[in-house]
Amino acid sequence: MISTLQQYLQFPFVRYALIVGTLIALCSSLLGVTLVLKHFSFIGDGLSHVAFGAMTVAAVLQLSNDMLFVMPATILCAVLLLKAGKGARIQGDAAVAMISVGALAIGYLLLNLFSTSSNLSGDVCSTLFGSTSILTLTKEVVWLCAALSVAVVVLFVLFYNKIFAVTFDEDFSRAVGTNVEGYNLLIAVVIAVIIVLAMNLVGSLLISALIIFPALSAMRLFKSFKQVTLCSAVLSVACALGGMLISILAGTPVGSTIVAMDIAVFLLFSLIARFRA
Amino acid sequence: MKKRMRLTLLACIAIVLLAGCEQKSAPTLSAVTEGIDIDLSVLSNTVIYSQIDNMLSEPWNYLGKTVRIKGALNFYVNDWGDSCSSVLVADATACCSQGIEFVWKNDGVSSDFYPSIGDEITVTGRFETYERDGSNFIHLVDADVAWETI
Repeated sequence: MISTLQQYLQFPFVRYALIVGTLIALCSSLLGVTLVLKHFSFIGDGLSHVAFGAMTVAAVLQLSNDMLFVMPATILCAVLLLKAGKGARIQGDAAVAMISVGALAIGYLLLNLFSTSSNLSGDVCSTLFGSTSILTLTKEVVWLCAALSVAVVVLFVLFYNKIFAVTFDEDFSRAVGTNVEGYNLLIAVVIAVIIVLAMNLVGSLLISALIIFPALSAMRLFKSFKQVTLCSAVLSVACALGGMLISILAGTPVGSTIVAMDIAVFLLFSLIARFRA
Repeated sequence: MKKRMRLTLLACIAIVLLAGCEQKSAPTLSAVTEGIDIDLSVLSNTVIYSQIDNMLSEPWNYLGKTVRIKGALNFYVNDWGDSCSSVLVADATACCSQGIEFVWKNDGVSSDFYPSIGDEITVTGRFETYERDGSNFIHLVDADVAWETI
């Protein structure tokens, strides 16, 4: 098996996939802890559907680089959803659901009406489930993904204390002079960036798993924010790497394999936690 | 604690240096299958699909190379009315297919011995590109085609 793996690693697109996939998994796990604690677990799903809708608009308009449209559109939706706050007429989960299904439906409708692709269902399937998306990245996209991932990690490390404070107690943070709105905006932008990147790894429909499963698994065993974050990062990277390698060797869809690994780890950690108790 | 960290750091540096000293002699693809530069017939569907996608997006990396691929035979008529042959490989979810057009060696064989559409074939040919009406296409030329007869 080692020699087979060495063979596969000779392909540059396999190496790119492993590097970018690992970075994306790391980023998503870091913000996943925040999202789970703020009860915004499904925002990954909602934003990924918005990104799908934006991608279809970019395809219909035949933009050469769809990221130029998808990223700003997703960031805008993330800001609107996360900054809606307690005063919004349509609250959190309802707003996410509304935007999520709306974007998915409109996106697919636009593709059916205006697409010039010769394999529409294949393109949609690949975008939704991420069967081989991570293995078909161009060099420019690889560099962009890597740069954005590194930027997300650096931002998280630099603003760790503020993110921690805003996650657990917004009112107290506001009372002590923290710019809560600013940090919520930062979190919203970073989440949107991660969602757009993660679509390449697991597809639109499975992004939530990439965000929430590592955090939930870590919470089975650890109680402090730092421990949960570190454990979540390690688990996410391990599952992403393992999932990608298994899918490459066994010929399974990449996104589903990674999520299956995440689920297996979650069950294992739940069992360990039960035995500990 | 500081001493432990120092020792751990030294160990990591030592491992990295030793790994760097190891002679990199990973087998090249051509060493795996003699005479074949890129043998896709031994790879998983996921990687085959991705490799063909890479060939489509960066064909200059593969010009002149001998490629072997296993997949389903397909005949079709292109936009210019020419009959073409291609070998198709589906991805893991089987909803997407990638394929490469190929040109039979010696213009093919007599009709008695053609495989049928959908039959699994192994094609070995030289990777080339061609232009038609301003668009670039890829195909395998001088292709040897093997298939199992029942």
